[in-house]
Formats: sequence, C-alpha cells, structure tokens
Amino acid sequence: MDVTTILKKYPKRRDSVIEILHEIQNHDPQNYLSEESLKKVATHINLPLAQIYGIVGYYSMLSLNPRKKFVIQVCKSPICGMLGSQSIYDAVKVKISARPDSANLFTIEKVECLGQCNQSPCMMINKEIYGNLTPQKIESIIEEIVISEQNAQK
Amino acid sequence: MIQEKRIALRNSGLINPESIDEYIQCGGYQAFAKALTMSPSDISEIIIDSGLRGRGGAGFPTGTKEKSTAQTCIECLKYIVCNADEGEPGTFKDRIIMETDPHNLIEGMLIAAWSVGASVGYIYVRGEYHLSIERLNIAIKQAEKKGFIGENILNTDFSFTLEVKPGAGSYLCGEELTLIESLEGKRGYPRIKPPFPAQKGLWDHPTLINNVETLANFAPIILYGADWYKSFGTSKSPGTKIFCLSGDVKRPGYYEVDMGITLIDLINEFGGGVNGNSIKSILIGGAAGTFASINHLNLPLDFDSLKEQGLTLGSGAVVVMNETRDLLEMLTSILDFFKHESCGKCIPCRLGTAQILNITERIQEMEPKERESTFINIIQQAEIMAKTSLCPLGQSPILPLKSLWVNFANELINKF
Repeated sequence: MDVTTILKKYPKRRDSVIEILHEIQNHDPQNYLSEESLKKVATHINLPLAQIYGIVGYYSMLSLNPRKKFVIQVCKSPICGMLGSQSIYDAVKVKISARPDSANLFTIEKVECLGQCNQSPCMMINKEIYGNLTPQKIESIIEEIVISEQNAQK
Repeated sequence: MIQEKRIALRNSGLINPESIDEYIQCGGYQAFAKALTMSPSDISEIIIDSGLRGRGGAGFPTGTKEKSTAQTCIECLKYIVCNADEGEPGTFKDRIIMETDPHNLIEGMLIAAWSVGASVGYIYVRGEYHLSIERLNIAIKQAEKKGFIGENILNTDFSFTLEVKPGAGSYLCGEELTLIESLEGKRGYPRIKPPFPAQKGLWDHPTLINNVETLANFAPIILYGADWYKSFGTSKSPGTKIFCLSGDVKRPGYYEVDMGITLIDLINEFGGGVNGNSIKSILIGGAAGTFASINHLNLPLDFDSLKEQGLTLGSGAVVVMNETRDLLEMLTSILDFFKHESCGKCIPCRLGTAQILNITERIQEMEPKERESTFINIIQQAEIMAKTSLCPLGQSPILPLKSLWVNFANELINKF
C-alpha cells in the first residue's frame, strides 16, 4: 500500500500520527520512514515537517534509516540480559554472516523489554515473537526464513 | 498447597479470546448490564468500598480517582483511558489479560466510563504488543455489533465509543500524563502535576486513567460486591494480584494469587523453586523496583508490607537471581535502561541517568574503599535526581540503587 492510500484511511488529526507512521513504516519495503513519506504526513495532518521529525525521533519503534525486510530485535532488558541475550545476539550475527546470501534479508537491533520475560531470552522478528531462545534455536529460525525466502523467489 | 485465585484472569485460557459469545456464556457483560441499572455514584462507592488499588504500580485507591473524575464537572466531555503501555522490565500481566480475555478489559472500561460519565475511551497499548492490539480490535468490533459499545447502549441514554491506540516504543509513555501527551500525537514528555488527569487530562478534559489489571477487576466487583472482593488479600491491599515471575525459577510465568502471599511461597509453590542452588536476590517491581535479599523471603507481597521494608511492589514483577548472578551487572543493566528511556526534558534526569551509569560501570575496577564512597556518592546523586525530576523516571533509579546498597553492601564492596 502506498503512502497516499494509507493517509486516506486516517482523519486529518494530529492524534492519528503514531498509527499513520506505524502503518507507513510497516508497508515500506525498507521498513522505515523516508523524508518523502514524512512530508506527505506533515501535509495530511497540517503540522510542520520538523514536528513530524520530532515525533519520529522520539519513538524508538520508528526508524529514519532504511532497514532490511526482516528486522530482528533482540531483547536486552535486565531479565533477558541475565539469561543470556548477548549470546543470542552474537548467535544471530554469526548465523547471518555465515550465510552471505542472506545479508540483504536481515537487520539486527537490540531493544528494551519486549514483555515476554516468562520466556527469556526472547526476540521479535517483525511482528513474530520467539522465546526461550538458545543459540541452536537461532540457527534454525534464521535458516527457515532464508529458505522460505529463497523458495518464494523461485 | 496454595491455590491460584483468578479474578482478573478468571477466563484466561478457558475461553476463545476472539469469541464474544464464549465470554457472554461465562457471565460476560452481566456486570455492565447491572451497572447500568445503578447510579454512577453508587458504582464508585462500591469500588471505594472494595479497597481496590491501582495495579499499575502506584497503588492509588481506584475508587477515589473515579469519584474525583466524576465530580470535576457534570455535563462535560470526559474521557477514559486504559493504560496498557506495559513497559516495566519483568512485567507482562497486562499483555496476558489483553491476549486471553480482551472483553474483560472492555467490560471494565464500560463500567468505569458509566461511573464517571465518560463518553469516549482509548486503550493505549504499547506498540510491541501486536497480538494484544489485534485481539482488542476484534473484541471492540464484536462488542459494537452486540450493542455494548455505541449509541444508547442497552436502551439507556449512555453512549460510548472505544478505540485502540498503539504506542511506539517509549517506556516513559506508561506514566499517565506522558501517555496522554502521546495519545494527543506528541513526543512523550511528562506534564507538570497537578493538575491531575482527573481535572485536566486528554485535550484538557477530565480523564480517568487506569491500568489494565485494575480495570479487569471491575466486572467481578460489581457482580459480587465489595465485601466479596475484600475477602481476598490483606486488609490494606484487598483482592488478588497477578505476579510475573521470571529469572532463575523453574516455572517462570504469571500467577494470580491473594495479595500478601509471601515471597518464598510465590517462588516455591508457583515458580517451582529457584533454578540453581540458592536464591541470592529478588528484584521486586521491575527496573523501577527494589532488590530484596533472602531476609525478605517471608515478607508478604503487598503495597504496605514492602514499603515498610524500603521495598516496592510496583507492577508485580518478581525477578529471581541465583547465587551465580552478578548483582552489579544487573544494576548496570537497569541503569542503562533508564539512560535509554530518559526523555531529556528534565536536565537532572537526562544527565543524571548517564552519569550514574558511567560511574557504576567503573565500580568493578575500584578498590573496596573507593567502592564504598562511590556508592554513597551515586546514591546521593540519584536522590537529587528524584527530587528534581518531573516524572517517575527520574525518581526511579534511586529505588534499585538504594535497596541494593542497603541489602548487599558487603558483597558490593568485597566481592569480585
């Protein structure tokens, strides 16, 4: 869905801005908010572009930088941290670098508590939660995504 | 053997959360129908009488908040907001309610809205809770179809609209006035209190704002009465509480039990005991919480008993740490969290959270004597921050810092 179509769904009100930004970002192939999109949002809700940037800059889920199709967010909160989130993060990095053909599929980020502490350590890939992680599980989770992407392209 | 007592979670796992019919079959929306036959002020009197206290962490009497919102003005536009921006590390109880029984929350909001005279409601859910947002949206559509939300609900003159609003990754937006700023589509900066939301909230209108778990208790209280509710828990903290157990326990999870359960019973009876040889410390209340020691294991978990010991119940997060855990590392991780989440509006918090973290990261390399003076120094700094910051974020780092120092000074100075 393009930005103009998304904007049509929302009232021209400031309080819709976070929902609008989420939806634009989720539909963007690069999982981010481009200047071009933000200009359209500013016009739609009649706010200066600087204020839109102010909002995007404040909220950590909104990104001004292009990202890959799959955004891997590893929880680094105190609880996941204690139960080994760093080794999960490292395992993700190792796995991705071991598959150079998948380098264009993944962006890795560390994020604060995902609210899944009953299954720490955990991570989120786009909207999907993965819990009780081990480096071995990371191996198969990433492999599965890579293979399904390769099959989709055939 | 202690049993769970599920009030807020009474339907959780027993019904299909995407079916309003199953919720109705379990007695759903009966409390709301009953509430509509009562006067709004009678409802807030029942809630006051029940002794229900806010389950988001502050423990403020819920009924008093309601009464004050209702009385701010009579014939004016009022809002009700559900605070579902559950971001406290170690806490996931609100997510469970929204994912497994969204209608329970909606019914609670309808009752609360009727009691204060609010005609518009919002549920502000943290953006990461995709399943909660999805299920709440389904539930709202179903409730509209059945006529529980809309114009002239159940043939009365009560009309109400309800909408889900997502957050976007800010811990601070869990603070009520900051949440309201965010709902208005702004950066999440806290407002000066007073005025409280009950007087001037969303778009400066009187606003009742309650946590998910608090609202999830409304329907049962209206159905069964204040005395029934008071038969659970302790005299000063009546009812049940959903505790979120995590860390080094054999069965991490969420358990709804009487307020006042002892820490050791929660860990052993429900958590299956410690994972490891022994318990070293228990972080109660999340990052904005306090470190308890094994001397506190027989302490009842309720707002006042913990406060007397310099601890806090907070949101009900209970993080167990075994004998192998490095408490300084845990503290560093918590302080890093606060640094990341500080919004920067108040300078003492913006600079202080970074400064305290910087110093803490260097403690490991210090000599014992220097460690002691350093801890006393950062506690002083955190106290100044607490006094000079607008919102609870700047007031929080002192909680883990001080409790860790009070309960584990010896280990912090001599170990490593």
